Amino acid sequence: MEISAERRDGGVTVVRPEGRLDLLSAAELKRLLVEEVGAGQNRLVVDLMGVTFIDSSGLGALIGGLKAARTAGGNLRLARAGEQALTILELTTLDRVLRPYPTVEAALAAA
Amino acid sequence: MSDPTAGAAPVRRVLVVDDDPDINRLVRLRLEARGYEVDAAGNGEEALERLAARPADLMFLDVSMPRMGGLEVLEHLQAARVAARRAEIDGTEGRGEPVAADGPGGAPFALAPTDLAVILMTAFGSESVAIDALRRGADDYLRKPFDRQDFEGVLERTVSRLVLRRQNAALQQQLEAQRRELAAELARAGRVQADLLPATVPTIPGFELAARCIPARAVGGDFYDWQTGEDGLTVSMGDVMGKGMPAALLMATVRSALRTVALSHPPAVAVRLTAAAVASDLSRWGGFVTLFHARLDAARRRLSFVDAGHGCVFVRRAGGEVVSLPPRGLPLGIAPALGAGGADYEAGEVDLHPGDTLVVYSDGLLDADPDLRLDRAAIGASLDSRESAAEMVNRLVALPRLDGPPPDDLTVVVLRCCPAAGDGT
Repeated sequence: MEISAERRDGGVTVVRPEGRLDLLSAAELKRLLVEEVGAGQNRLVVDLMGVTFIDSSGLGALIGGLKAARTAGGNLRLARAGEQALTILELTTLDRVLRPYPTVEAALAAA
Repeated sequence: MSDPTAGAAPVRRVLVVDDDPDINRLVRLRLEARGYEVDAAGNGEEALERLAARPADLMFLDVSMPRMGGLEVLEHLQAARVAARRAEIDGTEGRGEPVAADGPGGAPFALAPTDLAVILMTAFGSESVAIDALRRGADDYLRKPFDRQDFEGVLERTVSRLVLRRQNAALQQQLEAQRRELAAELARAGRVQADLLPATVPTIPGFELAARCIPARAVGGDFYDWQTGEDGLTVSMGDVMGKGMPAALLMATVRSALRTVALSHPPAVAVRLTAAAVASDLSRWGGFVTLFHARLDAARRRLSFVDAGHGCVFVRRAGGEVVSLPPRGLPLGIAPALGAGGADYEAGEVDLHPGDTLVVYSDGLLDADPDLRLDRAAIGASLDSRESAAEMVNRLVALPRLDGPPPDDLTVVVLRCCPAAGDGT
């Protein structure tokens, strides 16, 4: 899967995965998120604009990233989640820990 | 990981075919000097006999020879390749005995497509013959008289190409083997999963219970379970994140842990104990489990339940109203992952009246047909209070338009509080 990572000041990285976030691509995303935290970027925003579908494996990758970020004293937030992503986040109540924001800027402002 | 191309047979044996004994000897000497094992033949028929007896990796083949020339040999080789390919296809599709090509004298002569590279040797002035030969399956050609440089150039080129072809074939074989192994593992995981679903449906006075699971092609971590106890019944549905054997095994662990505590503890305690039991497994695997677990007091018609991130559940009242079931908590494995210690699971309660139905389903029902946007209201609206639990299950699994297995396990459990007699059952 195509994943871009844009580093900004203050230890912020905006990560943009493209396509389906499922069993096949989840491991890759989690690896990237953990790597960013390892490189000192502990304030992560995952922009879900380009994500067409996300399942429990995708959520697992995000939780993994969140865990790494929190352990490093930071956080992980979601931005621009689509209808399907919002539904699965709400169903699993994971929107309480992986908070979705309407825009990347809103997610960054909350950090 | 071992080198997959190690399965590629080295290029060692060469057959030199020429009716001119001087050419034969010269080529042989040059090849032996480079470490090849060389055999010789004087005409086409002899060449085919030698190949049938002992396969070679490379053949230098003269065009004009008595009894059978090089081009005719190429024709026989081509026919043998086609026969071998057909045999391979027939073999994998199990279509019965393969057919071999006829060698000289009618004896069958089988040859694998990439095994033999052929360098044609043509007399000066017959380049069109050489081009024709390339079309018939020769790999390269040498024009006589050829000097050392020509010879070595063509030999090296041809051998490199042959080695590459064989490495590719070896890689393909390994991929095939891996694919078969994966399919077998998924089948085993599927059997684990199927064996753990409830075998019988219990009879609960005043209630009806029905369920169906339509498995996805890839084994997932879905399960549903029930147990009957003194005062009623426990019903559970869980979903382990991920697919394949790891998810299936973790699902089996969660199911077992829950079974040991479900009848002897109220739902909130049962779920907390289960979460604690699987915490280290989940932590090691980096996964989580969504779970809906309920306990029915049949006499009081009261359902107490815990929803740990499941969400796909509601009660449909006799009149059609769809009510969701708060409170809702996080899936198992999440709070520990985030350093929040053991999670507290809060139980809810709902009273069921005659004609009410509890509907629990997996997200597979939603994923099967995403365009339908099935929410609780839509699913509830598809049901009819007068139908039996079994009929409702049939209706629910028919909601998504499926052609083939669903992308994720599609599981539905219906617990119906029977209407009082004379209520139009």
